[in-house]
Amino acid sequence: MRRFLAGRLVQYAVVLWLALTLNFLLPRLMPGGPAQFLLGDEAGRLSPELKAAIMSELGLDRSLGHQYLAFLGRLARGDLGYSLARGEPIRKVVADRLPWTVLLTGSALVVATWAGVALGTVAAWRRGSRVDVGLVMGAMLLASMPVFWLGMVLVATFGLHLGWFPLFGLRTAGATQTGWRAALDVARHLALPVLTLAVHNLFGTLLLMRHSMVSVLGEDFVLLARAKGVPARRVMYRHAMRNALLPVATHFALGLGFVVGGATVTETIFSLPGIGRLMYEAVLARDYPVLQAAFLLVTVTVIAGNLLADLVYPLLDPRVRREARA
Amino acid sequence: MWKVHRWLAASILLALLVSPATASGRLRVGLHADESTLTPYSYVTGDPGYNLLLFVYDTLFQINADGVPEPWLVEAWAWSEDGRQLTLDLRADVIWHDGEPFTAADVVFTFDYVRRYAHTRWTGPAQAIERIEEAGRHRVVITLRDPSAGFIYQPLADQPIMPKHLWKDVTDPRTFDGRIGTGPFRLVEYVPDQYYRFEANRQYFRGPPAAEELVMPIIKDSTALFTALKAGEVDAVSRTLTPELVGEFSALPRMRVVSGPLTVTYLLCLNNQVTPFDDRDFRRAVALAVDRRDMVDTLFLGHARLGSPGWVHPDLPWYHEELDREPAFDPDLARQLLDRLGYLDVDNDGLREWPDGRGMTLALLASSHDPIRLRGAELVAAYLKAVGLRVNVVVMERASLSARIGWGEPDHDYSKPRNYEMVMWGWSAPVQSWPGRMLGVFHSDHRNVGTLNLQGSSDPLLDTVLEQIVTTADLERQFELARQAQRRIADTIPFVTLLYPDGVYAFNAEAYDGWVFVKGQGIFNKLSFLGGSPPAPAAGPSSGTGGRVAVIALLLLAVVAVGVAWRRRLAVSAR
Repeated sequence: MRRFLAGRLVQYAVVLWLALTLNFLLPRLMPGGPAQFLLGDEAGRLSPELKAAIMSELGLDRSLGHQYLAFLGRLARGDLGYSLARGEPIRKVVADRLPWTVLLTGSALVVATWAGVALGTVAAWRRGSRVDVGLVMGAMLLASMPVFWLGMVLVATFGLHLGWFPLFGLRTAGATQTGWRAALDVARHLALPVLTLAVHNLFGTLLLMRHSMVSVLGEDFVLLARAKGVPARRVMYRHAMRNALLPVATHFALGLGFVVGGATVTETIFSLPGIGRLMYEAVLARDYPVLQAAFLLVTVTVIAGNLLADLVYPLLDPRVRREARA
Repeated sequence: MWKVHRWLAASILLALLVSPATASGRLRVGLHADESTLTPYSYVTGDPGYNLLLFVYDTLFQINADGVPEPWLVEAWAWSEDGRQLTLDLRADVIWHDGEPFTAADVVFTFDYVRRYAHTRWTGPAQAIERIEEAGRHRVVITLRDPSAGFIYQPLADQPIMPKHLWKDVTDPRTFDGRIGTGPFRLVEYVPDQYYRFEANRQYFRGPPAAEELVMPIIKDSTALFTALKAGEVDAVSRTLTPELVGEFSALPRMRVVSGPLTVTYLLCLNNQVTPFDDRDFRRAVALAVDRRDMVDTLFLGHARLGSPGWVHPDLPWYHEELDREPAFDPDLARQLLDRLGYLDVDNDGLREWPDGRGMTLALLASSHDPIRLRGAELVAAYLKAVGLRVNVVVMERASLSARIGWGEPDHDYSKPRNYEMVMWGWSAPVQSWPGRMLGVFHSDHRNVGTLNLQGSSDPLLDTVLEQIVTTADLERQFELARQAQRRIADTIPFVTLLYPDGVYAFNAEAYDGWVFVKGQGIFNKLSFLGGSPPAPAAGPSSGTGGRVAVIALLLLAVVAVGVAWRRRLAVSAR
């Protein structure tokens, strides 16, 4: 078991190292060189002396090896550089926005998984029926809608016409509530964006759960349970669903990897201050250092999500544990 | 367990839906950009950033609703005989938001500061000052390098005055978060990417502003912005309505829609430095072929003014009225001109070739960020095709486009022609704020004076007229010179002025209706809050809580009913 784990960790360390190195090399391979990259449009406006001073301040006049070590050192300290467009340290820019993105996409992931499992179970239990076909078709239809459109429809329906939910932002602008009232305010504001993302992502989990459930329902122990006279609901939820959850757990862990970068469109539609919109605006403003940091963040979370999936699996499934031991 | 889940979900939903809505009594204005900490060195854009900046700060002169500067922090002013020395008597009743008195020292400090710490908007105009001195607690004497008729417009009606006591030790102005001004509103809260909150400055020297509290949520997506306005979540927005929304908003009961002239220009910019556009007759043919009336109707559904051949907006006092009678759209004349110039259709494919017989395709660049310019480019291509010119519309990302045509490029080499043929372009409203600004757009010294001369035109005759404008203080004479310049522009056709969009604004008139339309600039400015009636208390949420609860109760009932039915069927199927 320990060897299995160690092997996996080494693999991920190599992938992470490759990602970091690429992240380091990309700006240096770009036309115009790193100065253009780091200083943006300002680069041309600076005098040669000032440019040289900045280059030396950033260590860009030293050898590539030196720069590489310095880059890793800065990363280890959590120093991501300066945003050109905002004039703030990127660490602060990211730290201001990351929690909201994680809250949004995390909630959406939980809701989508919860609903996907529930509906997938039902669809499998009644497979071939109208309910099954309806559920699968409906989820497929929703998943194939562009997120921005889905978001706009939800805004128009629940925000504009029914007036149930606020249309934009994270909290009521200028509100002075504190404590649970403030939390409730945020929850109200996040309701539609979470719903948008969750509905969009529901299909994958639903289909996965349905397939998994269908194969589990064919197992002998299910037949035995039914033969013993165990009530249908109990068979469905206690016996079959638990065993069918395994692939969904992996799916969930992998989904965690997309928590950071997966909500660009949703954040833009609902005017939420998150990482996705930060990236979008960095592209528009040509704020390369922010883009670089955001890509790094996204890469690292995707790798972390994969690692988590790998680590969790043996905990959930004794068979994997046994294989790993063997 | 499932029962618990269901009730949990239901109660969360219920709590979300019936929780109390916003506090009332404040005015909410949706803002389409984040303007950082809103100091003269940290605000980001001209619109809405600069206008918002002036909610907090004041200028010595203020552009009034007619677009003309009037004394603001200044009580009286006098020019010396030679037009180089200006004496300003400041108001003595002005105080900063922190209670400190406003004095001549602050004015002198501000102009010294912006000359020391470079800023794209403040530093250049302040360089016209040779000497600036305090001549008493409320008197400032400014000596200019040269007489300048536009000095009142810029910098005096443009430069926000900063408090010396707060800024004197600041060496990194871009990161300094100093929110103290003399303006009608105090910035009390700024949450990046989320909202601003302002409170009325009750000590304002022109009397307290008409709104007690202003909350401005930042909504960058324009669809979301207008949806919020429609839903009543904001009472006004900082941006003009897109043409297709005008009808919809006019029909809403609470909404009022006002419209007025904006001096924003849409241009078909022609590169005067490359063939065939170096030929005035060719440019004339292009101008005659473009159906500007159709563009106004198609692109703006009629909510725009026809471009004047002399470039100046028809509502401005120095507009040359006779230019109205110029033949605007005459494709037949355009064809004749092109025939005469030797651009003939040799191979009979319906499109003209170069005079030497080579196939001819002209490139028209358009930025991908502005859908109206994109559609405009396609229309222009169609008009030119109708007179036999093949035009290829090239869509580029905004920054790449600017780099390509040499706009905003610090290293631009002015000895070489600019690298494009035609581009869909436009200038913002301040470029028409007074006649002297024409110098930037048309002067032949592209490096130092004609810094907006993207078309690369040069016309010594026009230069002479323009140079006189900026040294002529007498307004009538100044306007007369401006008319001469327009005549000359209409004759030489450096580019084609297509149209000026109208500023169409919608706002909730029940919440506040004191908005003032400043000619050329729109309603999002501080004049809207000075001298109007105080806003009515904002209306509550649109649908009552009671109705909401009823709907939820029904939904819950339905869920329970389905659940029960489902359990029955399950039991049946298990049997």
